[in-house]
Amino acid sequence: VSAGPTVTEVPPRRWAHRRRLAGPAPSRLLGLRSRLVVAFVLVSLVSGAAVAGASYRQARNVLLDKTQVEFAKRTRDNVNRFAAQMRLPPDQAELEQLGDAVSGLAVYGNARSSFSQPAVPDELRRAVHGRDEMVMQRVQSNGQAYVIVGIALRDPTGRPTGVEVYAVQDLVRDSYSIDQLARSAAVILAGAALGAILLALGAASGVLRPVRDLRRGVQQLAEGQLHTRLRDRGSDELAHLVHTFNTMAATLQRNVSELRGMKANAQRFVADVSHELRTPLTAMTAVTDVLDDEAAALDGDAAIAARMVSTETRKLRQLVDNLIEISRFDNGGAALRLEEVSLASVVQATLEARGWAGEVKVDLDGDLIAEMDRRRVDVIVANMVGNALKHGSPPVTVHLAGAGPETVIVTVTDSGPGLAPEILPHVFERFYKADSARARSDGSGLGLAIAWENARLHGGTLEAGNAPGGGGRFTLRLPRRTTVTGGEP
Amino acid sequence: VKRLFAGVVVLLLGGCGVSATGPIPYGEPPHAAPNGLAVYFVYQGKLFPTVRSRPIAASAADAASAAPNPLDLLTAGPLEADTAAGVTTGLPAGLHLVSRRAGDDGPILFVSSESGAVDPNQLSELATAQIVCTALASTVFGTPVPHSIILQGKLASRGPLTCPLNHRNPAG
Repeated sequence: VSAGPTVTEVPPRRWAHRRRLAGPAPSRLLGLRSRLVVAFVLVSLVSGAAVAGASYRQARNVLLDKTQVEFAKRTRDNVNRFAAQMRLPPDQAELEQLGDAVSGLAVYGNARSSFSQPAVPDELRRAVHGRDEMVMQRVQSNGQAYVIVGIALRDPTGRPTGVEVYAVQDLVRDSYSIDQLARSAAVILAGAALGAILLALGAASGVLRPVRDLRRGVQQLAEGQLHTRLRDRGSDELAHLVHTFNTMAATLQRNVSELRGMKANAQRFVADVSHELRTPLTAMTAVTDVLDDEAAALDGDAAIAARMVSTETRKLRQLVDNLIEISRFDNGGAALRLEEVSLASVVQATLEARGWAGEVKVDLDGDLIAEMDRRRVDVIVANMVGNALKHGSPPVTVHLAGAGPETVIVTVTDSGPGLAPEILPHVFERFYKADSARARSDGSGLGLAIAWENARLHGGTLEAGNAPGGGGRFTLRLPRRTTVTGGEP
Repeated sequence: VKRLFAGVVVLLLGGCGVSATGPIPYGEPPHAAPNGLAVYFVYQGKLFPTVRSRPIAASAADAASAAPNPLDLLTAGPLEADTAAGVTTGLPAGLHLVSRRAGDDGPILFVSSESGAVDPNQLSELATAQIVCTALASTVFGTPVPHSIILQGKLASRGPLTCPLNHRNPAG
């Protein structure tokens, strides 16, 4: 009996052998941990992508804007410098020079400087035409980005000259910088996702540890370790659950130990009564011998009375002896005295000692040697055969054989109608009487219970059933080498 | 959630790199061409303003006297460079244009021709616009420049006309 509630720190990773009690393990994919990880990663990716995307766009626009403004300014300066010395209307040579000056295209009417890449879009031509403003357009040509600034050239008083200039610059460096931005944003996002995974794992273990502890605690409780308690720390919902669990375990333990105490008290009472009765009964038994001798000399009712007293006293003595035997089993006082015995000879001795040798057919394997308590095996076999003779019909057969290298089997079969199904579960109960009309039967009602306890003490089993032919059959299985000795119920 | 995630990814990848744009107005242009004389010609059937460089003069006085009259440049027709660029004129050949400063009826431009009298109302719209716009862009009527003129032939007149042409009172 354990002493009071103790807080147990459950050793980790020891539940392989407990799986059968633990039920299906939680799926890894749908577990709380994976769900937390997925949620964290999604949140971090979505928010990170939103922030990174917004700042990426902002940075890109600033970068491009800067380049474009500088380019427009440079173009304006170039045009100013060159156009001041220009002859108008410009001939082809003049157009070529102007185009070179702005590294782009110069147009007058349908005359144009030689410049091919990238093509100036028509929509830019239309937008520039007749407009008193510079016009900028970004184009993609052959996978390369360019910026084009278009100008309808005017003289200082603002009069259009008919000359248009399209200055071109590629955006290789800006494209590279912008791609770099995207790359670093991706790297940061990946880092954020990684961090989110770590955070999620941390959060998951924070939530899951109490759950796991609780699960283990419940497992231990289910296995009968009623002293299991969990450490309740914190004040969240899980801590409340742990507290409730501890209360439940304490109540369960108290109730079970009360029940055990009551049972032990009852058993002790029976043992005490049996012992108290034994001494006077021993004296009385000694007197019955005298009574038996005298009964022959008596006549009439006195002789009958004397014999009855003698018989009932012996029965009472038998009952008390059985009670004492049962009490030993109950309080763990029953011990095995093991020796190597020939089972066939033990069974034969049992039958001969009871005078049953003539009534019983035997089929014994004479070579079987086993290590067991001769007296107890005698008790078992005697009860089996006695029961068959008493309640079944002859012929009764005793069969002894080995079953594998570890086990021997003794079966006792009668030829009666067999045992009714409703009786079978109760056959080995104490004082169980299959036939209530015969309440005053010869047996004490403890014989089969004692036989069953003896079989158990050997580490074997005793089972009641019916033979295929219809008779009642008791089967005793004993290990050849008994390792279980003594033992509490 | 998955759809949202995919949307974000698509948005991210789609928004990457340098995208093309439409034409965007981008500030003051350079007013840098040599301060020449504005003459209106025709390019692809439309009025096409050009600027003619002044001849390089030795002194300021020379510059003033040597400065050609834009109306003469107009009647002289496109130069070689213009013709090469597809620039033409809508004016009939041999046209004479003489300006008279503001009188009672406003500035008047006399139109005549070597081959005889010219009726300004018979001139094409394009030719009329060339004459009016070139005249109003010049200083032949002194300063300040008027905003409308009357074309006067020997027998008929047209106007007042503005640049671009007004069509409210086609006959005057």
